[in-house]
Amino acid sequence: MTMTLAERRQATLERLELAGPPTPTGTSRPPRGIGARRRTQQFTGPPPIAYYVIAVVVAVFVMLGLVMVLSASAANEVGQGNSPYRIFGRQVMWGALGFVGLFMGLKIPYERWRPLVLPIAVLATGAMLLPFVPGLGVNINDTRAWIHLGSVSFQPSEVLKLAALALAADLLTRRESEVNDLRRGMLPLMAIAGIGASLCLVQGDLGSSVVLGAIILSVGFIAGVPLVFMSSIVVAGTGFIGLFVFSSPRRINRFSAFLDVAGNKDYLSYQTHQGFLSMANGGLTGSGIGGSNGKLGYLPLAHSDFIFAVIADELGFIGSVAVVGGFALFVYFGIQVALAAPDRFGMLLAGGIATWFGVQAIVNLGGVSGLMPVTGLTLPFFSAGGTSLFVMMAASGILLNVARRAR
Amino acid sequence: MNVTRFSAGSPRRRLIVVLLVVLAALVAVLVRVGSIQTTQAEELRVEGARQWTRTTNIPASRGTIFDRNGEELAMSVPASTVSVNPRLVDDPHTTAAMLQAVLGLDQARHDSILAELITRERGFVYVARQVDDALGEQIASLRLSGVDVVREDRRILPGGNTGRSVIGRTDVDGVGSAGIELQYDELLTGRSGEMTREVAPGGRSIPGTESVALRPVPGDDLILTLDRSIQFACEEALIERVTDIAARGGTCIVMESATGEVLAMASVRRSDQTGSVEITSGNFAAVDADEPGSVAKVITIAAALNEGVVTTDSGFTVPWREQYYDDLLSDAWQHPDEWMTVEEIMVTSSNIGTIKIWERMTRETHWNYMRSFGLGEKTALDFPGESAGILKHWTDLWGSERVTVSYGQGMASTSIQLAAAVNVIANDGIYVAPKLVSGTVGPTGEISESAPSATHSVVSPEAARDTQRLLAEVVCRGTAKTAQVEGFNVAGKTGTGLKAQPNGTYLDDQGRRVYYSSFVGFFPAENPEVTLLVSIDEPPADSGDRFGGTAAGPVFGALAPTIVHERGIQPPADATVCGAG
Repeated sequence: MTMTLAERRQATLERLELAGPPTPTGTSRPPRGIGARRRTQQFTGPPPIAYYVIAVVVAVFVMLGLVMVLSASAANEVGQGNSPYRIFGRQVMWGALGFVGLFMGLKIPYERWRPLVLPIAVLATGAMLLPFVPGLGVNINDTRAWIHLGSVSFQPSEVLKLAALALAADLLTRRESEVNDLRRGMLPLMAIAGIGASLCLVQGDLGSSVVLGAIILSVGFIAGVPLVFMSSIVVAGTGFIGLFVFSSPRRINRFSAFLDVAGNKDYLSYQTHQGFLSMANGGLTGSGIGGSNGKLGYLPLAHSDFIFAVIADELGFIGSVAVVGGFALFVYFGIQVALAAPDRFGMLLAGGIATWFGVQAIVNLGGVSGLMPVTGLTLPFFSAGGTSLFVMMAASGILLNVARRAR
Repeated sequence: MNVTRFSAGSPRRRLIVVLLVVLAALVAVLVRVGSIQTTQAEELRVEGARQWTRTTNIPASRGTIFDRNGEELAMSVPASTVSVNPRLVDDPHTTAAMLQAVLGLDQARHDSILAELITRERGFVYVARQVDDALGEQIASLRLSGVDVVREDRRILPGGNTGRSVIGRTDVDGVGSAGIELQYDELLTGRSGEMTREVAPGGRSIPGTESVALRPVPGDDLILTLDRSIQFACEEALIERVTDIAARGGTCIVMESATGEVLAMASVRRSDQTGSVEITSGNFAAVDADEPGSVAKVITIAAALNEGVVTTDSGFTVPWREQYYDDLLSDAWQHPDEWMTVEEIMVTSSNIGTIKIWERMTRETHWNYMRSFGLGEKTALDFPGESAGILKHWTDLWGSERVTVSYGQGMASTSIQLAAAVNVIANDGIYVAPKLVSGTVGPTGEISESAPSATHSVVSPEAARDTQRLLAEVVCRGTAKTAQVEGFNVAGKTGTGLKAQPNGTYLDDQGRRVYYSSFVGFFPAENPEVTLLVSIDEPPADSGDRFGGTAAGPVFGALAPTIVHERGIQPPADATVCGAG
C-alpha cells in the first residue's frame, strides 16, 4: 500500500497526461510528520479540492482586481491629464509577471527553494535599504518604502515578507526538535521577525512591520513554539509598537482616529469616512462597475489601499461578501493544504502563506471598515501595486505547489 | 546546560486555531461592512449625495426687445464665460499662457490672472465673460484643469446705439440696470431653471450626470412703440444740430398724436470725456426737467379759449414791459404799447400779452389746466428715474412767479410731459398718456397687446382747433418759421427757457444766461398725425441760435421727411401751405 513520494507524483503526472516515464527525483525521503494519523493516509486520486479552490479564488481575484483597478483609477488619471489606462496598464504588466511567478512557484517543487532561502532573505534585507539611496528611493504617503528604476517602481518589503516567511519555515523545519529551545529555536525566530519588522518600521511602514511580525510569529506558532514564548514575544512586540505609536502625538491622533470616524471626518479620518460614504453608496447590489463617485477624487488612494471601498460601492454588499468570502475560502483551504502537506517545510510554508494573506486582508479590510487604524497595506490581489501583486501571485504558486503534493 | 523546556505545541491544532482566528476576524469585517452597506447606508448615502451633487441655476434666456415693426433693439446671444479655480490649476504659467493665447487677453490681464493662479488665494476668478461661444468651446476642449466654461448670454443692441437711452442696459450679470431693461426686468428675465449634476472634488462635472430638475422659462419679448428708423433719424439730427451750434445736448420725442405711442425718444449730450456729442445712456427726455418757457403759452391760451374768456380775435393793449409784484417783466423785443389780438400774442410770443390773457382767469383755474395738461406729475410711462417736473400749487407761488408761470417760467417739465401736453391740442383737446410698450410676446409666441393709453378731456375740440390754427400761424409767420416742412402745414410753438443755476439765479458764474430752447409741434396742421418735440440744451448764450425757433426748429425740419416717409403721411388734399396756395 505504501507509495513513495516519487511514485505518487508520477501517478499524478500520468493522470494529468503531463509526464512521460518516471524520473528519479532527489526528494525521496519520507515526509516528516504532522501526525501519526495522517502518516498512514494515502492520496492517489486527483489533486485535492483545495488546489482547485485556491486556483479559482486566485484567478478570480486577480482578474476582478484588474477590472477594479481600472475602474478606480481611470477617472482620477483622466482628471490629472493622464491616460485612463496608465495605472491599469502597469498593473496588467505586473499581473503578467505575477503569472510567470505563479507558474514558477507551481512548477518548481517547493523544497528546491530551501537552499536558496537564506541568500534570498539576505538579498531582500539588502534591498530594504535601497529606498534610502538618494535618487533611487522616493517618498510615497510619508513612507520611504519604494525604489524607482526608470518608470518601474518596486517595493522591497513585499519581497521581504515572503523571504522572511520562507526563512522562518526553513529554520523551524531544520530545528523541529528545538522549537521549545529558547536559544536555538526562539532567538533566531525573534531575530528574523525583529530585523524584518524593524526594517519596515525604519521605512515608516508600520502596517508592513506589523504584518511581517505577525507572519513570522504565525509560522512559529504553527511550528509549535511554546505558548509562553509566543505570548512574551506578542507582549514585547505590542509594547514596542505601542511605544512607537505613542512616541508622537501625530501618530497617536492618526492611530486613534478610527475610534471616532464621523467626528474626525474632515481631517484625521477623512479617508475612512469617504470610504464609508462609498460603501454605503453601493448598498446591497452596488452602483455598477464604474459607478462609484468616491474614486473621482473624494476617496484618496481609491485604487490601492482603499480599493475595497470602491468594490463595495460598485458591486454592493454582494461584492463585499464575495471578496471577504473569497479570502475566507483562500485561508480555509490554505490551512487544509498545510494540514495535508507532505512535509514540515511544506506545512509551515502553506500555513504561513495562508495566514499572511488572511492577516493582510484583515488589516486592510479592518482599516477600510473602521475596525482598526488605517495602515497603508494593500489588499492582496486587488490593490494597485505591482510588487505586491507579483509577490502574492508567486506565493500563491508556491501554495498551489504544496497543494498538488498533498498526501 | 539544560534550560527549562516547555513542551512544543501540535502544529495541527495550532493551524486550526489560526484558521479560526482568521475566519473570526473576516466575519467581523463582513458584519461591519454589511452594517455600513445596509442599516447605516441611508444616512451615509445622503451625506455622500450632498457632497458630490451640485444644483446650479439654468438662466432663462432673456427676452428680446423689438421696435414696433419687429426690428430687434436689444437681444441676447449665446456666449461663454470662462472662469478658473486657481486651487485646481497644476501649472499656472502654461494655463495663463494658453488662456491668453485663445482669448487674446492683454498683458495686464494675463499678469493679474497669473498672479491669482500662483497665490491661490481665491477659489474662483473670472477670466473672460461673455466671449464668443466658439472661443468658449476652444477653451473647453483644452481641458485645462481648474478652468471652467459656462454659458452666459451676452446682451447686444443690433441697431448699435439706436434707442439706447430708452432701452437702457443690463449689468454684466444680465440683470436690467437702466431704462426699459430695468423697468421690465422681471418680465424679460423669465424664470431660471435648475440642473443637478455630480461633480468631482473641485467642482468638475462628471459627464452624463447632468439632469434638468426644473426647466427654465424664457423671458417674454417686449414690443416697444418705438420706430427704429425714426429713432435713428432723431438721434442723427440731434447730434448734427448740437454739434453744429456747439450746444450741450438735446432731446427729441416723436409721438403718434391719436394714441400717445412714442415713435422716438432720443437724448444726446456732449461727452465730458471725448467732447463729442453722443447718444446718452440715460433717458434725459424723461429724467431731466427744465423750464418749458414759451411753449407753456399754448396751455395758457388754450385754457383761456376753452374757458371762453377770450377768442382768437380778442384784443389787448400790450406794453413791452410792465411791473408785476417786485419784478419788471418784459417781452423779448422792445415795442411801443401795441394793440394785439390773441393770435398776434401767440405768433409773436409776447410775454406781456400772455399775462393779459392769463389775467382773465383765476390763478386756480390756470393751475388746474396745467395739471390737466399733464404737468407736475409723472407720465404713465413711469420710466425708471422719471421726473415729475416742478409745478408748485398755485397757493404756494410767490412774487412774480405767480405771473410768469403763464409763460412757462417758475416751473419745470420733462420733454415727454411737454410733448404730451402739446399733443392735447393736436388730439383735439384730449390728453392721451404717452406709451412706450405696445405688447409682449410670451414663451409660446402669443402676443398680448398692452392696454390703450388712458385719456381724458382737457379742452373742447373747438378750443383745440382754434389753438391748432394759432400754432400753424406761428410756424407760417411767427417765431418758428425754421420748422416749416415742404408740402405740409406744421403747427407748433417755440420756447426759450432759462435754466436755473446752482447759485439760485438765472445767470451762470460768468454772468451769462443759460438757455433751454425747444420747439414742440405737430403736423399735418389740418389733421395732426404726429406730435414732435425737439429741445436743445444750453445753446451758446451769445449766438442767435439760442432761441427755440433758431436752435430747435431746424431739427424738426430735418426730421419731417423721414417721419413722413416712415408713417406714410399724406397732406390733406385741399391744404394750402401757409396760405400761399
